[in-house]
Amino acid sequence: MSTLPCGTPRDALTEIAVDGASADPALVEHAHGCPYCTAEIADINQRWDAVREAAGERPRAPEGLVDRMLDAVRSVRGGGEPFRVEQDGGGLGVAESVVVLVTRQAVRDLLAEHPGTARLRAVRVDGRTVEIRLVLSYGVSVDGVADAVRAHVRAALADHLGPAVPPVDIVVVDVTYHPRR
Amino acid sequence: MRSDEDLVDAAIAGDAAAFDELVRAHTDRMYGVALRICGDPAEAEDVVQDAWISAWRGLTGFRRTAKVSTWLYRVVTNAALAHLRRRKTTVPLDELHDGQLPADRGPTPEARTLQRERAEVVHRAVATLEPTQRVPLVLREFEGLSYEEVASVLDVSVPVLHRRLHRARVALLAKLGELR
Repeated sequence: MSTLPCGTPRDALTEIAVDGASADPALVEHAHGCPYCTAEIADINQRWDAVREAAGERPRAPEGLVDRMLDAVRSVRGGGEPFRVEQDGGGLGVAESVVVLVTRQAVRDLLAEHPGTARLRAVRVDGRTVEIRLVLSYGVSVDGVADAVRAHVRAALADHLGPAVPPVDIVVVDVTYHPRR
Repeated sequence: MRSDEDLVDAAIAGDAAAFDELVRAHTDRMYGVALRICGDPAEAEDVVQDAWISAWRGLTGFRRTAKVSTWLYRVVTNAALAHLRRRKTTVPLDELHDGQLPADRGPTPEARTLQRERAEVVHRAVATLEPTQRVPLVLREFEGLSYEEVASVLDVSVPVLHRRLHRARVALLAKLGELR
């Protein structure tokens, strides 16, 4: 850490430059009367302008983002008929939201092991079918991803629901030309 | 128009449309936070999706001591941090994809291009910071939250936050110097 000729560490002035204040009142008093500190504060301030300018650049949300979020929330909210699975000795009812959450987690776990292949867009449960909507990375085999996701999700659902696993449909809804690193 | 607090109360009481209103009102801002923490648009969308599902599931646990917006900042920040932990490695924000920054606007196309380039350098520098520095920096410098609000989001004391932010700012200035 470099020090100014007045003995003040340069870094100690960062807060004064950025916030115009400091938790150390003695430092503030000294800095405002010290030519070295004043010059250093001005320099930090100038360099920090790039951050202020970047902060003014509000990221633009992708088109349709809100609708996709509403879709995701509604799928977890459920509200439909419980998912029915026939078992020996009687039926098993599982809330739609539970099926969605188990499916989401299973897909996320699998895709985390294979970054850059696909992303989960949404999970829907309709009657007795689970539908998984994916965004595929350009150049990735649709068949390969669909098979892998379906097998992984069916295994996860079997762990929770038993062997009467519902059909799992895969729908590729988009392709991205920017594969994840 | 109902306040965020009214919307949360209504959602807890079973009014699904009230929660939808919250989603419409806050998604863009949550996306901005996620993008600046994760550095990748696709990952940011995943994070926001996780955040809204967490928010829905945690609705009844919402403490009225915090503002709804603060709670949502906390939810999206936690989702982003969980995402970074799963990813394990830091992905540098080395490119800003089309559609990520606001559309070009004055004063001139040249000036606007320069402004974008300067912003990209800052984003690249922010992406190199450790998450413990990056997250408070994003909330304070880019989202404009007060020290108290950031401390509440991160569940740390204000003095602890001051120290983290100090280290983050010093590290960012150093990184900006290297990237110039």
